[in-house]
Amino acid sequence: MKMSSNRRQFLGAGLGGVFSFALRHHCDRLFAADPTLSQKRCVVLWMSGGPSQMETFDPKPGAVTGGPTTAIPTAVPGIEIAANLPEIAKRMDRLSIIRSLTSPEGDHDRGEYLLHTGYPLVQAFPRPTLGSIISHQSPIADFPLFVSIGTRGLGPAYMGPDHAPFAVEDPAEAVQLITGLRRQRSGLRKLDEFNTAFDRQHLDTALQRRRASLQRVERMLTTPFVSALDVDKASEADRLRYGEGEFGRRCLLARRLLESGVRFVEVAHGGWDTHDDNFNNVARLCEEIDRPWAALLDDLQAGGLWNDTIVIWMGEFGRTPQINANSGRDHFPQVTPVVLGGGGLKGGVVVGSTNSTGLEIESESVTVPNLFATLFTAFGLDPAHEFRTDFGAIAQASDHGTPIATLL
Amino acid sequence: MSQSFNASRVLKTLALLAVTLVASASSLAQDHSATSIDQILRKAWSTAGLESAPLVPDEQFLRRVTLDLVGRIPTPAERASFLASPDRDALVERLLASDEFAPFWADHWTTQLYGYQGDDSDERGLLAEWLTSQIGSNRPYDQIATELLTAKGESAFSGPVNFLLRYPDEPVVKVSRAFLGVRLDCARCHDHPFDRWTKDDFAGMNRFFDGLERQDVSAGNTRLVDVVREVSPEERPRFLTGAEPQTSQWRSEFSLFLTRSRPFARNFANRLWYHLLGRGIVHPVDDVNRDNPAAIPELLDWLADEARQKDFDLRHMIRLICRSQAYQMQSMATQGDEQRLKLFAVRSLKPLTPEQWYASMCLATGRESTADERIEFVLTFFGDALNADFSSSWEYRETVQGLMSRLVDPVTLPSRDTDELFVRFLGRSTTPDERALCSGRSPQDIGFMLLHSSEFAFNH
Repeated sequence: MKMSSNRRQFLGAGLGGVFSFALRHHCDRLFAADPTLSQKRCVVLWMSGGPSQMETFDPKPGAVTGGPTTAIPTAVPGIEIAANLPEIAKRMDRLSIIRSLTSPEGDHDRGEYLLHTGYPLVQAFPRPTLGSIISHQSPIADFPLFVSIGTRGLGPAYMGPDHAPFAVEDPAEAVQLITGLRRQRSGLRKLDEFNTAFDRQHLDTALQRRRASLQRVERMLTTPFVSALDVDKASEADRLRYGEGEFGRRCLLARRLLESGVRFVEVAHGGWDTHDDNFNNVARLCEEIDRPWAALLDDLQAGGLWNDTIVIWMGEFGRTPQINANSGRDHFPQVTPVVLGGGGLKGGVVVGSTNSTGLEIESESVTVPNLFATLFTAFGLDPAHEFRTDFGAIAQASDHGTPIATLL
Repeated sequence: MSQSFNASRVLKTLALLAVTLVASASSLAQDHSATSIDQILRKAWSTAGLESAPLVPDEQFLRRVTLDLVGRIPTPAERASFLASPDRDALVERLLASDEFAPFWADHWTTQLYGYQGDDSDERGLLAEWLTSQIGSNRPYDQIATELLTAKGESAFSGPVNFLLRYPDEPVVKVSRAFLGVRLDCARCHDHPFDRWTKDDFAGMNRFFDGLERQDVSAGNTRLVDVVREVSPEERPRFLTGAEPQTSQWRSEFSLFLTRSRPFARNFANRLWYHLLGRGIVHPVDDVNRDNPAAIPELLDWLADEARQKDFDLRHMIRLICRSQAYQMQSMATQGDEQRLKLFAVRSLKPLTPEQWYASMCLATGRESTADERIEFVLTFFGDALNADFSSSWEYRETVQGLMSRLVDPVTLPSRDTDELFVRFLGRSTTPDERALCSGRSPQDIGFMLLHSSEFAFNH
């Protein structure tokens, strides 16, 4: 008797079973998350290869290490940056420069990992990337909260597959994927109907999760996220301001995604590994990013998202002050340039300094964990917050970093 | 002088260990052989007042065991032939002897030991190839483990050396999870919150690998060698049992301590049970700790003893488990059946791994399987989020993006007949209800529905 009534309840619950599963999941999250967090967003402009600080935000004109790079004044009296970034110079009051960040990792993969997770790479203990943590800390949605543009992105580790980056390597492909799914909508509904019998007869977390994922895919098709992905739908004026370059399109897509509710967008820009012909290459790379980055800052401000959206510019490490035989600069993690603003962070601040040659950090040395602690604090997450991994270990959000007080 | 002294100490230790092992083995041999998996389980069910599920029909058994042992669904021809003479034990023997057995298990173990990389690397391939040959010749599992832990040589030439090369920092974290089911991860920063392992235990275990040195030989080729380290007594390695090395060959001694230990045998048994039953006796399998006891300790010990007595014979263990009632049970369960699932009175479900899914999809649709497409498929399945730990095979890890890209992948159709499609995809005949559901729908729609159904996506 009792068995059959339980069974009826379960059968009657139908979708309710899945719903209550999602609800439980959600409550868990609410319990862990700080309510002030819910509005915060972040966009990382990832300069893949390792950008030269000397040709961007810490120029040394006249020094033996300075090369031909010149400096220009910015909107903030006393702050000068390289002449390669005139549009960003005009908006320096919104951004702060960290000139004294130092990292131990001079290898591309290890540097990328450290600057994405805040932890050194230990193969046996994978750490989630910042985007996965932000996704995990945000209220659940029917669309991905973490999107990675132009790169596959690093994994979610113990945050689980729901917080993996949605990778848009090519926006056209993403649009094709959505179009294909739209054609399958009736198929998806019939699939759901067919699955119902099997799903009711079995009691299994993996089964419930898969069912929830299938339903989420169907619901996703009607969210603003899907229309935001189609960057070709952007207005002519928008496209002009961001330019026709690839990075411009990616920044425009990032803005559209942030407006649609995505919490974390990483935009990749490659080519910064300038071992050869550094000065010409960095000048070109800066030209590619200067206008789109400025347009993104302007749009976030105009759209009212600026105070909720942290914008970070960085790469895996900086480059040697010494100029090599090929007019290039090599890997120099000792000084890793970072520029950030928005989301309540102070603008117009310079953290730390390097000496006249750029070889040594002169003041306020900052570590990668300090940077991550600053970002977590800006998000409203305690840097010492302890996550419990699915394999039972306790993992602090930040690797024992303390926030950089002058930025908060 | 000192070397021969050390060597004799080791021999003595070994002799002692051997005596202890033989003694313990003979003392339990009598009641060990007199009992069986099913007897232990029946006792556990009756104590807990649980009813066991009935056995699965032949066609479902065929699908289940084919997926488990060779990593794909059965073909319609295999189904027809098995249904004509449904001898389950003979089927298990056929699969164990099949050419597909070793590559499937090797691939599976490679994922557990090595994980994936952005692209399927040569190093991973070499490790998988080596494991295939070991499993092919049915090499005892303790010997396989020993070789993985003591391998020397160059990554471009040696399969087993690539296991430790994969974990340059704190290899003991992976080693203790893979071979003991113990998570020292927590103890690396502070004393384990719910177990007896301390930071000192972690440090002591990790020091066994302090002598490891990686030398870059050429681009993409790394050599793993041991250098002898002179250390003060308090800086010597120490096994979890308290044992310390007597020679300078720390890794060799570590592998001895490890493979002769009871937790090693338990871990081997528990992981096999997990692979086949979908749920560990200690569950999760890599979380052996005081607060997570075995659901049925007698069963775990019995299997561990069996493994030790039969020299860690993988095929023997699989044969035993697949013949048991627990393996052959139905998987239907509803809310309230949690305890039955936990004590194996009803079967657990397992999502197909990406490799199983891809192989099965190719078989069902008649699509040609290629190595490149297979790798690309596996990578997309996880949405490129590959830096996770793959200790738990039956966890659902698919990302929404992975699922989406599969849903838009065109389904090629081997047939336009509904009944035939059901047999090809699900390995069973169509029910009247389903025939009604399918009537008036295009074969294309039916193929889409079957390929993405829960019934296809799970081993049940």
